[in-house]
Amino acid sequence: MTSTTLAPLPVTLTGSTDHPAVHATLASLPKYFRPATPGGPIIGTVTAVPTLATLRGALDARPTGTLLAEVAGVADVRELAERAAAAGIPVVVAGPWALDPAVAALAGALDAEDASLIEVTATVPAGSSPTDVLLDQLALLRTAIGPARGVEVIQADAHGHLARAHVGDVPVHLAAAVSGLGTRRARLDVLGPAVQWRLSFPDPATARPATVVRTDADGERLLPTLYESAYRAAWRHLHAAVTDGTVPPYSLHDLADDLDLLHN
Amino acid sequence: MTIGVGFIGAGPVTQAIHLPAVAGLSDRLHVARVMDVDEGTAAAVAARAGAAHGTSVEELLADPAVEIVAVCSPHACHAEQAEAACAAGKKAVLVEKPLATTLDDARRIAKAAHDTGVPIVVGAMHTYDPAWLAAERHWGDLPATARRIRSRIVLPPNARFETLATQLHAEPVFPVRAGDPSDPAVRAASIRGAVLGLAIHNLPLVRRFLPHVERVDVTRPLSPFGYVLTFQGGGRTAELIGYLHRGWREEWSFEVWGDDGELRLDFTPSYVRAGSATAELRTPAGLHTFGPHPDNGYTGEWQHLAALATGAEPLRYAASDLVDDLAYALDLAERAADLLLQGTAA
Repeated sequence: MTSTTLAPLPVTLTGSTDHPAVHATLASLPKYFRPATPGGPIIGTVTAVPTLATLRGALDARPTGTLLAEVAGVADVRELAERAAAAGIPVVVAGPWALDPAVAALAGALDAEDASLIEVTATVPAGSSPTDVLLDQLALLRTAIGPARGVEVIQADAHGHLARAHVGDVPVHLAAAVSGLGTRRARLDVLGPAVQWRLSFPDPATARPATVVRTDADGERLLPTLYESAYRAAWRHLHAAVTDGTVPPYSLHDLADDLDLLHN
Repeated sequence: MTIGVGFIGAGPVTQAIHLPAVAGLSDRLHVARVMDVDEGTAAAVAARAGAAHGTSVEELLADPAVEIVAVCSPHACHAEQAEAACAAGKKAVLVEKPLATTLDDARRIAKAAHDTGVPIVVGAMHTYDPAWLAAERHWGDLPATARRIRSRIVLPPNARFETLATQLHAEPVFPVRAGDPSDPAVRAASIRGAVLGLAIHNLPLVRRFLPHVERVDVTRPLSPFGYVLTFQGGGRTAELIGYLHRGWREEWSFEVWGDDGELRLDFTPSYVRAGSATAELRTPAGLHTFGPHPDNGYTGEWQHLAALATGAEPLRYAASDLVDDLAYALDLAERAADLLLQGTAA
């Protein structure tokens, strides 16, 4: 039996706020998910600003899978990642950019080995935590190209941050500016002597597509666009992980590794 | 009767940028004389404009047909030639960037301009870009509330644009970069050159929003040529990214984030007459777009020079401002190089 013929998976939402658009996103996947009925099997989810306690509570309920809807204020999830793995509970970590379908569509085609510089830049609304934004940027880096190493935060305040790192031997420049006007967008640029890549992410609250452009001597190629937000894609990954056992592109272990990069 | 222009130095910038720009303003300007140390170059370039030619700066300055002098010679010659042009009582002097190679030289030029009353214009073309000037008229208190500034210059080789802007008299010859790139001294010299050769194009813009550099945090030379520089001052942070690749795509942008305003400019490449930048200014009232206009910053420079020569408009940037722009660039270049030499940079 394939996943598409399974009954929709029942979902229990933890947390009271509908951010980032959890209800509408679930409603757009009616064959995959339905609200849980009391006493039935559940997929626990953590919405809004999760604490370790809420995440731990979600895992204690022994769901068949969990989606961490937003990384905010999380300090250490290594122990929880180990616990989830031991219990066989897949945990998908959503975010504004890392699971964007445009990144998945690259399917490893973005080779930065010969690059001179990788830039991950973002404009984020006021009130955004530099640590959370950096984690989102590291997640994007990890799913699009590969894990960073040697992350060093150069500067961080209420107006943005600067950091540097490497992927392999390629230097990485990470930066964010806080917008008092609520602007939210991001870019990932790979600058090489012969080939450049440009991934542009509009406001992740919408399904407006990210654009992926590869530039080389033959011209410029825009990859097909997909009108799906990274958040909806995250739910699809959760469904696939639960029903087919696929490994999510960004998991709780990946988040634990990126947190280590920031704190070590 | 149009105003006569004399060029000191007839290299690629004169040929590809200034001659077409002056020709485009033939209702008010004409090329009167071209000087170059290479007589063949001077003659060939002058012939394109039907102008006189020679190998002597003195001869050019003594020519009454030359009313505006454009100093497009090697950087180290700028100060002496600009001073001489002022002393000759010309109506205006254009000095290609950088104004000088030392602050003392820049001050000498400013003093000569002050003493003679001859207005000096530096070829910082983006400060004359119509979209920049239009945004400036509307950005309100953005310079006071700016928090983050990002300048990004990603370009293919100059030849890609030069050959589309003119047919050069001779292919330019560039010195081969010497030295071991792992040698900190070589890297420091390289970053100085990158700041004063590439980043400098946007530095007057950066200075408007981050006027006092307190600390350079990151100096990272890029291979084969480029840099990442970050610095702070007055609670503001700036990022400068420059990269020259072998491809064809260009992106030349300048961004500012303030408390209640955001500015982005996308400039056209140098050399080609591709019009002005496009500026986007976001405020709580909405999005305002300026440009693209048909004229670029080079044409803006020459329009201003012509207006200065006829007294039609006042000098846009005082000589002291130009000196401060150079001081800013030199200081940044030294701080960046020092950081590399200290071995604290990546």
